Amino acid sequence: MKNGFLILSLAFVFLFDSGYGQTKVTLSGYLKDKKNGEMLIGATVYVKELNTGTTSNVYGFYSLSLPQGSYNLTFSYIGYTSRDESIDLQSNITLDVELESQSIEIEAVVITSKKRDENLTRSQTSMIKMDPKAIRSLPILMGESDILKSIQMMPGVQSVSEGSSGFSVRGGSADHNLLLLDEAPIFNAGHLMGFFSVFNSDAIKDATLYKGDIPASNGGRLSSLLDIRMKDGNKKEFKGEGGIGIIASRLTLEGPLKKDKGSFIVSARRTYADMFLALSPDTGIRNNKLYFFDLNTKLNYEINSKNRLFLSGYFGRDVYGFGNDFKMSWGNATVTARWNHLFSSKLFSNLTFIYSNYNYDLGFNKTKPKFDWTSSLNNFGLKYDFTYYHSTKSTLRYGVQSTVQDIQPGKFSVKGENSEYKVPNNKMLEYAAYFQHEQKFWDKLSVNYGLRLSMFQNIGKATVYRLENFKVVDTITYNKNKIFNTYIGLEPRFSASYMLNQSSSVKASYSRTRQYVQLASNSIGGSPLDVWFPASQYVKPQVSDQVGIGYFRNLSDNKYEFSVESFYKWMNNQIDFDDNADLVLNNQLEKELRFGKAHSYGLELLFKKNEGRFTGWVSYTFSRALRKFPDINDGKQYNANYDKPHNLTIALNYNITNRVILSANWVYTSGAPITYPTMRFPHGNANLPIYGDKNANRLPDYHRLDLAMTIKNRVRAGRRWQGEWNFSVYNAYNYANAYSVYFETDKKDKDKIRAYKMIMFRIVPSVTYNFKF
Amino acid sequence: MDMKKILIITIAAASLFGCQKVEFDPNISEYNKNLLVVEGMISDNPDFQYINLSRTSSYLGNQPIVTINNALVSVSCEGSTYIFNHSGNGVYTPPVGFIGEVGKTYHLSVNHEGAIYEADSRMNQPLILDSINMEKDEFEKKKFKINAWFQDNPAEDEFILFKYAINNTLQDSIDQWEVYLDVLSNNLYIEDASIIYGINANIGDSISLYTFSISKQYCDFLLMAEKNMEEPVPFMPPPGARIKGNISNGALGFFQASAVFRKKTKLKI
Repeated sequence: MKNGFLILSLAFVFLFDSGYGQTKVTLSGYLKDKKNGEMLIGATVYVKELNTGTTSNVYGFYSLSLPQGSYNLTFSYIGYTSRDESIDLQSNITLDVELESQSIEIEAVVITSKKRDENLTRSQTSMIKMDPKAIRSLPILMGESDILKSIQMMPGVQSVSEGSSGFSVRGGSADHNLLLLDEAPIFNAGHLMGFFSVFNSDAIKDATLYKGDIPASNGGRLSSLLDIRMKDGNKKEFKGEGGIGIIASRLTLEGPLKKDKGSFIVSARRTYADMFLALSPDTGIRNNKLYFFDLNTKLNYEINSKNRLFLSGYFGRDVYGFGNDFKMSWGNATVTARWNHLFSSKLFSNLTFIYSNYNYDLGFNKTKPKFDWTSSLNNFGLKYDFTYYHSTKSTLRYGVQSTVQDIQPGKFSVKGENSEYKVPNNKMLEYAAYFQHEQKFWDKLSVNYGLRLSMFQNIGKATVYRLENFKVVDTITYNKNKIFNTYIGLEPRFSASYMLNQSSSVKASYSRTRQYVQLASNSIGGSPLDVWFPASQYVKPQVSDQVGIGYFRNLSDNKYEFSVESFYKWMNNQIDFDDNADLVLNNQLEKELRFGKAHSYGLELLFKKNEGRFTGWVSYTFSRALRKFPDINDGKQYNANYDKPHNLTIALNYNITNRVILSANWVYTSGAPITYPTMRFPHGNANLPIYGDKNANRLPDYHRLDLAMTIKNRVRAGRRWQGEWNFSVYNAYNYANAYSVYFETDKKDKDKIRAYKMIMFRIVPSVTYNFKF
Repeated sequence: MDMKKILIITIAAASLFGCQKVEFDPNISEYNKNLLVVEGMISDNPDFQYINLSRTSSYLGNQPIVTINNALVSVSCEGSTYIFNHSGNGVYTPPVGFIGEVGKTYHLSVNHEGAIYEADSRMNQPLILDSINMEKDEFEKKKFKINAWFQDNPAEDEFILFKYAINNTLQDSIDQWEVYLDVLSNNLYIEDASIIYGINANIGDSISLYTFSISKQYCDFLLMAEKNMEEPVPFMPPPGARIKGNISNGALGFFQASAVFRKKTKLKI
């Protein structure tokens, strides 16, 4: 099958290249922001004479192979003034182009394609691009703009619980999403119980969510890829920006290392609830800690026209503590080092080294002896990716990847004693090789097909338990570095688009994804104590197949966009947990696992207005997510925890003037599934519940209105400081949405049980002052 | 391992966001299969030997629990069978002179309306407390907590249920109990471990801390019961997990044989 794909690929490359036989030369270069030198991702180069073009890659690089001749070119990017260039192309030429950003109104566009009709022409389906610069005007919880919360307002994406940064994509669970920050995987994206994400929007340049049809260059998760790219830093001049909010403040500094050659950026954010605690007259409260912080840094340097280096890092941590008795902290750390190299004007390469760590630490200092509980995950990766720009109609991407991962699920040590309880480490290797070919046929049909070959291996030192009926019947130990289990699998990816006319297209896609590590979590909104665990002899890799079709139409010269997409996804080797599963510090986790199948399907509608003073979108999703496990719910099918069939979002922005923007969101979803008790029995002078079918009931439907107003100060010539106030109200009509349901026996009548809905957020006003200098 | 502190911290953090609870009607239909329920204990202390029999009731039906007063209840051990007599309200008590012994396994048999319900439980060794004291609860300023000093037994995988009494009145409900697992502290000497929080007591009160040796299965049962009574927070699993007992033939509840130890102190703070 693999050989067949390769032969087919090469055939397409050479047979459908319209310029085959002519002398071709290459125009290549980088597209940048004129103000700060930031590379523009997905900017367009259009060749008028040939009615064709290309887009820049994630490093701002573009390449066009054209027959010799004179051409009129247009370089464009949404939110920027287009630039026309005439060029006499007789030999290979390198042309770096800087585009100037436009007026403020266009920046207010929130969700956008980078090219005005890119949503029609690209073969990629089920993709959402977010503009971090623009989400600031959205009303948001506590005034902290958050890329993950904004993504949850798009069709096919649902929050796992109110206020959570965890999300479900097309019926997948939260751990089915691959979150990459400058290509480094983030293993726990939540701060403060998941109410805030680790992604500081000041440090982010671009975020793209693939809901299906994930590029073959990425894998390892079933449902989605969220590819977040950090800013490179200002190459022209020293700049700063930040914000002061009610819960956190931010500061970003950036500037050139050497003008137009290299730059740096440092971005920090910290909450200050603990600073208010310190003002308390109560020493019990004053000594407590409760905060999180993030630090993003990046350096880049252009060695010469063919070589560029990037070094980026992230470090974030949550810290809780009750006096000196108890402390708890957790966080992510990542490092990404990249080397862009041009082998030729048609062959772009990127070599990436990745390190990602997640760990937590709990200390109990009150008792004697003192205890310390730790867990860590270390991930080292190496990737080598190539893009070959064969012609304006044909682009080939290929590469290889390797990852080493070491998970220490939990270690409980006793200070001052030679005693510890340690769950054995899990070590694993993951490799992949891929190719993907994007081919345009004539002017209407565009096809994107690829194949990913992934391999996974468990390596010692390890202890493996042989189970029968969820009980350990044998224990097998493997020596250090011994490879004792291997999985290998093919992951075909395919998508195609056909332009029906200048303003509409139809698309279809199929993709298979495999997942070799998963999260041991059975909490409502995710927990910092959740640990990842690998596939093994008894845990088969999760596999998902997804098909999708869509119709896309733009109206009024691309001012309005409409799309309808439908998908069906079926997932095998799915994992759920026993009713009473103990998932932390469990060295026989396999006993708690239950295996089954899941499937989901849905219809997603999106209508957007992209331009003008009044912008926004309306999205509606109908979807179902269902699971069937022989050992759960008596083998009967049940609703997944995140199965919320109806999901409607209305997001509106209105620029009253160039300085004042009003925004409003209204969100409605079906209530999340829940299992209600049907009977009770007495024990220990309490009423204990007997539950009915799993997830057979639902919380009350959820709806919420958020409002925001952004007021910018006047732009005055020569004044470097620019400021804006953002006033935001979350849940403006103070609706009591149920986070969960809780039952309590009446204190006066032990036979009467009262039901309560737990409400996480009522009306939450906030104010943030953002500034630039 | 003090998971309660983690929970309290979580709740404290959640309270930053104004977490509230509002009563509502979840529209749960009345449903009851009238299953038999056992709550039974055999111990080496005559104060803690009883078999309570009742039936399930509809969850929100506001019906009183129906007790079973006409069952034939017996406990057997090493070839001897002891008939438990009904003493009212579904409570069956052992014959005079019957007392449990550490290391023995007890078999419960309940014969009711032609059906037999059975369970087995072994009495594990007790946890002996060296001393206990009381101090202010750092999480609830007007309440107190009990600290304990003890040597964990050499045997692995021991499970202990803690209960307490104020002025000899046992505070006997699940939300006032605590369980201890020695998985992480086997055979260690534990000093100043905070055992039970949130105690409403007065200066001069006599406080007793009881330890009950229990099985892993009963420990799991109690932990699940406790989880089902806690207010939901993001850290915790959603409700819906079944509380599995050890009674056969579809009955609910638990039969446990426990060795009991008691330590007393006075509240002096």
